[in-house]
Amino acid sequence: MRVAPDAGARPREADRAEEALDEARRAGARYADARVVERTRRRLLVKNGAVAEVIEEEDRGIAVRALAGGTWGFAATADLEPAGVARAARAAVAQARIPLPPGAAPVDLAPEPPHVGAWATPIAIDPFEVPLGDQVDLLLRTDAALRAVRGVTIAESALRFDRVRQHFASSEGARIDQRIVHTGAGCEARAFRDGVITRRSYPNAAGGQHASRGYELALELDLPGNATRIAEEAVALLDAPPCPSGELDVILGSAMLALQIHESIGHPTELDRVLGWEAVVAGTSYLAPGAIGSHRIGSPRVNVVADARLEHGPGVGTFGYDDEGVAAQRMDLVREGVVVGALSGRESAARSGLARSGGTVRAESWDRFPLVRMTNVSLEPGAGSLADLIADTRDGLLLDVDYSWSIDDKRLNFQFGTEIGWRIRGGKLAEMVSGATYGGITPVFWSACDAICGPEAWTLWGFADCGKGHPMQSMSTGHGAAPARFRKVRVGFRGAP
Amino acid sequence: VSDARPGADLPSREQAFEILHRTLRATAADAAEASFDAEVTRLTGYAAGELRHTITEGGRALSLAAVFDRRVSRVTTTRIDAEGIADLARRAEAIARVPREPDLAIDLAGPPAAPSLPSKFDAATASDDHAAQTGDAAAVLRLARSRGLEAAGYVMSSEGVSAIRNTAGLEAYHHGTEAEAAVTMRRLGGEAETSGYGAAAAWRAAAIRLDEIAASVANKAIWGGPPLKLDPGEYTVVLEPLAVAELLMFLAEGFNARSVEEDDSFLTGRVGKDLFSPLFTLLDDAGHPLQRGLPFDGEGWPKRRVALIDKGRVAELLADRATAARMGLEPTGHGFPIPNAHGAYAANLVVPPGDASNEDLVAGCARGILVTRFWYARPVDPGTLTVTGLTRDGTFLIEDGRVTRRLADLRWNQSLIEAFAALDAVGNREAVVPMEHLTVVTPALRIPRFRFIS
Repeated sequence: MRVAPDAGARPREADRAEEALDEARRAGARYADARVVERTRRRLLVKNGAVAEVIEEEDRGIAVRALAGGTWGFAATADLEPAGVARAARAAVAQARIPLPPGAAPVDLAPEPPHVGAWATPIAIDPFEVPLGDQVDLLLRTDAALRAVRGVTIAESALRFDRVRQHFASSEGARIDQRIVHTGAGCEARAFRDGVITRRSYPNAAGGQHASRGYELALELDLPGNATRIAEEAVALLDAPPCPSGELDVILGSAMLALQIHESIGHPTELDRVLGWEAVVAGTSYLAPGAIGSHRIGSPRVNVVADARLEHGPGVGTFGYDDEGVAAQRMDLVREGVVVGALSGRESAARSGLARSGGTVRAESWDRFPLVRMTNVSLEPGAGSLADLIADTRDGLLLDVDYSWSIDDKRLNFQFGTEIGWRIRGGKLAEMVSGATYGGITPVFWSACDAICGPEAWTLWGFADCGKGHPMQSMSTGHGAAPARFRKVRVGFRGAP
Repeated sequence: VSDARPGADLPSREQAFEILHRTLRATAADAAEASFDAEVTRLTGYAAGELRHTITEGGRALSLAAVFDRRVSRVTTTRIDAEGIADLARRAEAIARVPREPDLAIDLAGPPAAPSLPSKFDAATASDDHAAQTGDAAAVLRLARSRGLEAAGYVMSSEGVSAIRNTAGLEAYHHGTEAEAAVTMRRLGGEAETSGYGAAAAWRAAAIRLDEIAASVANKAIWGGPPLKLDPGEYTVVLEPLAVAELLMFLAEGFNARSVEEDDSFLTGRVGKDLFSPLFTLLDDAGHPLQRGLPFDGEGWPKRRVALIDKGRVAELLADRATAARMGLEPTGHGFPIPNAHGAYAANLVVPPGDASNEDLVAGCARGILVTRFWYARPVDPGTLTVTGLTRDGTFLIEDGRVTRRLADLRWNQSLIEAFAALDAVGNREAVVPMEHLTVVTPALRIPRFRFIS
């Protein structure tokens, strides 16, 4: 394992951040920060035997964020020539000087020491240095295994690699270089017969697994070795009986539970949602601003943390510093079923009377205004294996891997579909079921959690494309979970009133 | 370039084609296609009753698709200097030369028989600034406060250039403007909270009447008393344009010819059939006077007016050039850029207006639900196009042909094939609805037997 020595943006471009701050100061900013970001993205897709996409994108630019008496001014440009950077800085400050309406509160920022440092994702194999031919070959072998199963109508195998080099500088003195690498890998089989379409993914939906790791992740996942199994399941689902309707005990596999955490605990504990700042698009929260510390959403077994530090694991919410220059942290969000913390940034923390930002503010890239985003929001493990949990369940369902997800704008009323499920009868896995759905109301659901498997069953999943904000921003978030059981859950919503 | 437009540097037609010319000249590919997009977006956001931020985003992307020995790659950069372009060409060749079987469809489009529709450009929208936007936002905030409400929303305008050129002789250029606004107002009160919402899109900022939207949203947020929790069941729904647009998005996805070809659409085996109500027609029509956006697709091919559903019949699919060639169709100008694994996409949906006034739609309903907006709709069963979602920001009970009171939000599970087959009235007033990746021009619709489950 090595830490890449070339963390951060190229020196010439890091200099641009200094020029931007100088220009912002001259224009009258009381606070300014600048992010110079260079991204490289590689996407490979093999579909039905053919190399369908080999795409490589790079972009670089600078974002200047300023305060100067009014609200935030933000300007971003791909023009990294000195004149272009200066224009962006002057524009951000000019916007920030537009007077606030009478009585409006000025922006205040929770204090953070001005960090000077560097951080890089530890990777074993740089995915951008692996020959493209090797990567294509991995996908073609996976694709062949998927299509070898009779009945598969669509086979897709994909790799994605993201590298971000960023230099952050603030008028308070922060100077931070980061180099973040994400790898994603997965495959998917779909089957069609008589108007029925089924899907199975490995190791997870939405492109598979994503982590702050190098190409070693793609190799360890062994896509070709798992392709046959998921292709067979996709075809078997065509003949599987539908998920029963009613109330049953449900065990959620860790991949599905990771999304459940994301939607029903992660988003509603974002402090900007709690404060109503995202009300127009993303929505708000079931949490009232004063309810943190007392609002119960789950059983005493439910403990959830937000942890951006490497000690939590190589999640895609792992970094050294957020996009406000705040150091990565671990915090409790839910302790024994009670919401005790929230995801915050410097402004939302100050507004809420918190002493320090939680360090969770990130932007999709240089051209987007940074927002409160989930880091790695994970359910702490309990004890025991999945086999133990199934053996302890008399009559229920094991459901796993997201198929569709829907939840209201306060994050209370949800309905999720899963790619696959199995009946549990008498403590044993029985027949496969298709079209499985389950739903409920967030605190009722989490209060029905009576068992969580142990650390050996815990996986830190990565989701690559969480949307929030306007203009919409995509963000990577991590979620650790072990399979867990929920008593008397409503299942089988498909189409019926 | 003025200080008000950092990094915009929107090139003229000649400058854009010069960048593309230099890019194509830099590659030794057997065939190549280059595209250049640049945009400046100005947005003012407000929330929780206060101004939140003023944003200027100036982005650009130069993209090169290169074919070497029947293998295609695509690379993109923000660097448009000589070094950036040379590097782009080098990367394109390196990727395309990765050993593999030849790609199936790599022919580039030549010049189309008919040119693209003219771009929609409005000089006043292009010169919109944050001072004007914050003034508009402040007016919304004042109105909300005067009604005891908390407002959140945004005002946005953008100006963009897109150009594409290839070695087969195709050229296309667009210089257009777009504007958008959305407002939500909430009467806070914990579980008794009520809210309203409105949004609009246009290619001319002046076409968006933010004052009218805000007044309507304020009324919606207040009207109808405390929310009544309605029992689940089947109800007739009167769907306002925002709610209609959410459903049309799912419907339109099925009209991708590539999905039909791959047995991955609810329309597989159903093209040409009378699947929907004869009152229902759905078009993709970038040339509609209220529509906005690019007049050509990712291959530079002119967008054609396509009747997806013609009086209930599944009439025509959206086809990129490669899929069209395989299926014996005409390309419609809705393809993604090559290499294209996904086929075609709808971007400019239009439901022609019917003859029912908004009052008629409600008056014809003995007991039903008026829906302002749907939220978080997601597919449950792709074969029957069953979708689940919720109502949001203004759901009201209709009794004996009158809107009588506010309802708590409801979750629904509904086959959209059944819903649009049952549709029994089409409104006569169009609205322009901004969605994430498309713009929808639609009136309100009435649909019987819509299934609410909780």
